Amino acid sequence: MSGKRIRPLGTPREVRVNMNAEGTPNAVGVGRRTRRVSTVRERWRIDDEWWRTPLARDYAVVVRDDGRPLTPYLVEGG
Amino acid sequence: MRSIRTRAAAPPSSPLEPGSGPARARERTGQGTGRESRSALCLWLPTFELRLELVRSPALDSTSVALLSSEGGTRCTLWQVSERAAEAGVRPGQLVSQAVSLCPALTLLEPDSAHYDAAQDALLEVLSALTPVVEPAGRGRIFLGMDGLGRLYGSPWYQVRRVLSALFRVLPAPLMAATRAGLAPGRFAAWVAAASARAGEPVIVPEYALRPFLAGRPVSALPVDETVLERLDRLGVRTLGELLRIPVPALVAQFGKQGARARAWAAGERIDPVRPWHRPRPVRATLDFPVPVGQVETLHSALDRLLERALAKFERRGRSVAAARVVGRLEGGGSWMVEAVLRDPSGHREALAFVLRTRMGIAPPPRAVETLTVEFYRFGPPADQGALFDRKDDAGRELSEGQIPYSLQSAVRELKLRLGNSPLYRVVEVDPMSRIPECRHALLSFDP
Repeated sequence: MSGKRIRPLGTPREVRVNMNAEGTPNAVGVGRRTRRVSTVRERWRIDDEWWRTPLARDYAVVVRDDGRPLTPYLVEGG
Repeated sequence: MRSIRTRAAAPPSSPLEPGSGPARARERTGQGTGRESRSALCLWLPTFELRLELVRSPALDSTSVALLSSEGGTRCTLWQVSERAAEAGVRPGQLVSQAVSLCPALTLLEPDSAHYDAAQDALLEVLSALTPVVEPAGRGRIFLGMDGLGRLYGSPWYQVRRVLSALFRVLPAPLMAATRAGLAPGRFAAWVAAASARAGEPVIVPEYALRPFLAGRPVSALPVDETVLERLDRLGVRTLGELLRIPVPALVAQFGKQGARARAWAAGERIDPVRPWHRPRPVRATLDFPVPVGQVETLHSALDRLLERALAKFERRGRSVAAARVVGRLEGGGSWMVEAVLRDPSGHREALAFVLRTRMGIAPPPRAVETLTVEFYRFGPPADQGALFDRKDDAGRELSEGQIPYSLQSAVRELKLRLGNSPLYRVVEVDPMSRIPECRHALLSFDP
């Protein structure tokens, strides 16, 4: 691997997520534009690395109304 | 400076004018579209190539010299002959054996196309600085569009003088002394004016004097088939004025469309504007050898390096190469050139090298080469990105797992030449089953 450079891929960035009363995402805003969520494919929660830096996130794989999939997560206390 | 200033009525319109409608009307009247120019200046350097040879070897100036025809054939003929050789009866088109028997002291020169083209390019570059409308018509004959230059350079007389003084700065004296210039409405009249001019005495034909000026000129100036000119000669028609005396129906019946066109030119009714000539700026790379090189392997290796350098140049702007030439300056003077037009334009070094090497194999340099230049002078669409990940080799065989496609290797090499390092990355799996999405994949620099 000498001379090879490695870079992270898919680092998270901040987006706006509107949720309904049940906590299901119904709109996602990236930049200045907000689009409705047409499908929520999957949801999961992680509570990890409690022994080092605790990592607690609520993930959802959503599909916006323009067909673009996104994987937003909610940071506990965020 | 001779200037024709005969007063004459405007030429009557001919019933033989081809077609109607705006396009045809534009063709007839010569009203330019865009950057076309009705007013044309023709610069003519007779026996341009031979004169360039005499400039290169001044010692030959006082001898009988002939330039050999570059057309391949079993019987070698002459292309251009010097005045001294012509006095001895040597003529262009003559067989070498005949010419030598007429003039035993005749010096025969091989044509050097690269040298002539370079001289023509230098001329065009200088003239392009004077007017945006420059149209070459073969080596040694160039049309300049002069519309709208009055405000810059003054009257037509001053315009011609400005052009000639610009030429004087780049042309050697013997060539300048032979330059003829004619300014007239349309290319045909300008050419006739230049052909009738004496060296150093341009002929300027104003609009109102066009018809009487043309009337006295020989029919041989007409750009029609040789057979038409021969038949006109047999009919005793020597000048354009005599041609106009032939009834129009008879002219059309004898010569068809060519007859109608010839009449329109002769009457000054057809004015062909000068059209700007577009030529993409060539991309060049040159290598000077410390000692002249005659070995084919060394030349091939130099060709590879030059192709890489030329392909990496910013001026190429990603375009594929449709035509390229290799020019060599030879030891002891002279130059050598091979050209290749690619059936499928390419941006790959190997593809270009293969074609050029083949040409070099057919026509190798006659002597050792001091300087080698690669020039791309015609371009195609941008290189095909679709083939970048083509998993087949040159022979069409599928690449095995892990093998990098040649096209991709070549693209990375080109990027490294330009940027110093490869800016490409490959997506690699780190932990594909991770519940944290950003931990699943990463980018690893790609440098095969």
